[in-house]
Amino acid sequence: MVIIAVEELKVSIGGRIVISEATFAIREPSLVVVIGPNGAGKTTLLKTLIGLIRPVRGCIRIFDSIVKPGSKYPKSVRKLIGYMPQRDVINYAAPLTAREIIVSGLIENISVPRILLPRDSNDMVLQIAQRLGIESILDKFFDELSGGQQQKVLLARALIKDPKILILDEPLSNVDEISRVEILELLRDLVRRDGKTVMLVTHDVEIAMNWSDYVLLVNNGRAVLYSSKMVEDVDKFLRHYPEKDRKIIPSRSPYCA
Amino acid sequence: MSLIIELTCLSILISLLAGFSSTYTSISRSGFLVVTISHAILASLAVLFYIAYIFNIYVTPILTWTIMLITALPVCAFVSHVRLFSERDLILSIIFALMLSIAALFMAILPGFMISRMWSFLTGSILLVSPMDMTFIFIICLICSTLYTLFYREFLLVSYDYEYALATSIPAGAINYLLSILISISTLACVYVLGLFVTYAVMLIPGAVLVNARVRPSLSIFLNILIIFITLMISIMLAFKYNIPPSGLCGVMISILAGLAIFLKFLMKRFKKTQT
Ligand SMILES: Nc1ncnc2c1ncn2[C@@H]1O[C@H](COP(=O)(O)OP(=O)(O)O)[C@@H](O)[C@H]1O
Ligand SMILES: [Mg+2]
Repeated sequence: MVIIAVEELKVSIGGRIVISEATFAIREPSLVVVIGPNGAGKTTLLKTLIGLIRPVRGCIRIFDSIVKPGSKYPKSVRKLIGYMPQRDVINYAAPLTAREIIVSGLIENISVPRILLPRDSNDMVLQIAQRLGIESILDKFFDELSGGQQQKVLLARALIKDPKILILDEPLSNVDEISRVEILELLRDLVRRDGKTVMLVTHDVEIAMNWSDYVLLVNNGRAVLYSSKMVEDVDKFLRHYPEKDRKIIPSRSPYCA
Repeated sequence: MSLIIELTCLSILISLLAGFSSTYTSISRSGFLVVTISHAILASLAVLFYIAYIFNIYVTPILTWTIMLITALPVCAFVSHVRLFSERDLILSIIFALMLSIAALFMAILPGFMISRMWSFLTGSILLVSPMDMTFIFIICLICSTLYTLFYREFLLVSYDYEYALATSIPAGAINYLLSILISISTLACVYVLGLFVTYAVMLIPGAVLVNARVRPSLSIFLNILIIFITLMISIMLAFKYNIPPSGLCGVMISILAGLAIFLKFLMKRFKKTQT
């Protein structure tokens, strides 16, 4: 089975190549942590995976759907992915409560015209909110919440449609230590129990090593996947990557044939 | 008597259009779009009147509305492709300046009797709306209000988190375009009836104040429609009694109301601070 695979991917923004070569495959439900320096192209890679940016070359495979440079990103794939953008892209002018934002994650599940919410939407919001410990702030306005609470609300919005894959861009920044562990435990639960695949960006190397199944290192235009189990000494790993023996080189199975 | 009924109907239509648009404009930060579209119309009408004068053509309402639509739609199409707010506002401000200059250029060379017709687009001509115009405004209002209602959730989502919306399976790009079109068409109707000057007061102020006071979008739409309708009706009545232009009055009233609301909010904040 292939959950997410990428083959010889090349992505450029405004004529500048950001990702020059990426090839990796995630084959079983796992927690993948994406790390790399600022501006390395982590966000760009995630956006390419969900179809917000079109690749220049190579291909992306999500389950059985294949996306190539010329092809349109399939709608059916979008329904399988829950996305959490970096918090700074949100327009805070809109006076929306946490509840309204979480509910908007259901928008694809409502039939057109999307005016009436499903009858159990309130229960769904409450259930997700309880898992994230935010049930007491549901009726507060989004811009009144702390950074960490905002992150949890956005995570809840990505989760409520029950996607197979979660793509989270810096979900842990601005989040306090206790909440971080809560969120990571929840994510690990989602992987182990519900068989979801989680890809998250963080700058915290400790988190990357302690919680992940795989580490996707993005640097110098390359994205390389490592198994976390094979990394014993973090400092050494970071200093010496990319080392050939630890890198998971996908056997050249034609993902995109 | 029938004039009063006609004006009431017109006020209902205009307050529906402006009420919906005002909320959406402020949530989607499209204030600049409203300003630019209205000046683009002014420019194209000035050019239209000049050509009509040269070739001695009579400018029918159909021609006027067609030209206004033809001017507005490309601006929307162009602008809704620009994702960055700063970039979008830069492009809009260039179009705005260009259009204002074109309008100034052509209005300067128009003969006097045509200038007065242009002038009515600036100050409004609510008392002179023809049955033909009324029909146009009715159709526009019907279409816009229906779409504004049907796409409520989609419009909110693309306005507050466009990137997330693009990542879902809903056609976010098309919805964003539709929202700009609806805001622009509503602007057309408002400029036609209330004039350029007052359009800003009606389309920008109430929505901005309510959104700033954290009134929920659906309630804000309802309140906007109500506020605009009441001020329009009061203005029309005062206009009849004292023979002053109604749209100007309406703009002044809305601005004063907004000022009061902001002052009240400020007082409440101070009061809360002194209590704690
Ligand atoms: N809209 C854009 N226009 C031009 N360059 C961009 C844009 N977005 C990102 N970039 C560039 O692409 C590179 C990767 O950015 P990004 O993926 O956001 O990095 P990361 O998320 O790893 O910090 C950066 O060098 C950045 O300057
Ligand atoms: Mg980033």
